[in-house]
Amino acid sequence: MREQDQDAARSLVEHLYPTVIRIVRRNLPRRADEEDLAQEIFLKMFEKLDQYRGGVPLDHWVSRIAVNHCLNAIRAQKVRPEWRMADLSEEQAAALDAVTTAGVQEPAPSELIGARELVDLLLDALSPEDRLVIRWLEIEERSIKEVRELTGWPSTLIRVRAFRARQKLNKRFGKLRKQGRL
Amino acid sequence: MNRLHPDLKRLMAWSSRSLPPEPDEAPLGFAGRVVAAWNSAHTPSLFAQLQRLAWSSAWASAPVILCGAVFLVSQAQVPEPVAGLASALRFLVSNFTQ
Repeated sequence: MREQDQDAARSLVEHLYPTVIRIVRRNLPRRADEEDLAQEIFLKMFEKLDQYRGGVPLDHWVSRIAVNHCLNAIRAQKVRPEWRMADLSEEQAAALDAVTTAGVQEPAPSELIGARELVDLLLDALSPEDRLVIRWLEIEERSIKEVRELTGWPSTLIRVRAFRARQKLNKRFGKLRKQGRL
Repeated sequence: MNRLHPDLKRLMAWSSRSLPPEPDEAPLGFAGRVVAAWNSAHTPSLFAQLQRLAWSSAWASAPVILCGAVFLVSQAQVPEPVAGLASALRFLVSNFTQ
């Protein structure tokens, strides 16, 4: 690759694509095209490839580039205006109802979509870094060690971010429940 | 360590179930597009190419110029064979003007 080998470059992109696209999809700024963002990440990777010293596995090194690039893209966006209960769609309201109803074990497909949108809305209140930590720890159920490897952040920082984010999310979720039909 | 509210945790578990499946491989042509974009971003402009050509020509001609200068300096230091030349001229004039 360092000798401008086109085939090697293509193979590298193909090999790392699942790692990069997974991060992009989880941290996609609104209205951004995932393939455009992934392409920007790969171009940045090629630009920095001479700096790779092999201290960490290549996919961890690339995932750190991807994380930083996505976080910068999210930061560059304008902050979404404050949302209210009245702003919830039918699916979101149904998902909220279902999740707070003890008997519901198997949600309907529309409720699953509503749940995802609702989680996105709740996570929007967090900083991009806190959001990423919560996605990986709580939604994907990764360990602190894995998040440390993928982001390059120290464990203490990840714990602090997770603590702060959980606190904020619980508060927001409580507010959402109280404003609803419960 | 604090924890998420159980209902919120359940909401998150549901949300992950509606995510689209993760791709195993890059879409067709994606890697080629990335490499092409990288190449085009790093292909030097015409001006840069001309500039590089000018510099390389300058470096290539520098030793020639240097050698020429040394030769001229060494020539200037050799005493001119004035006497020999004058007699040769006289010989030519006397023989060819008759």
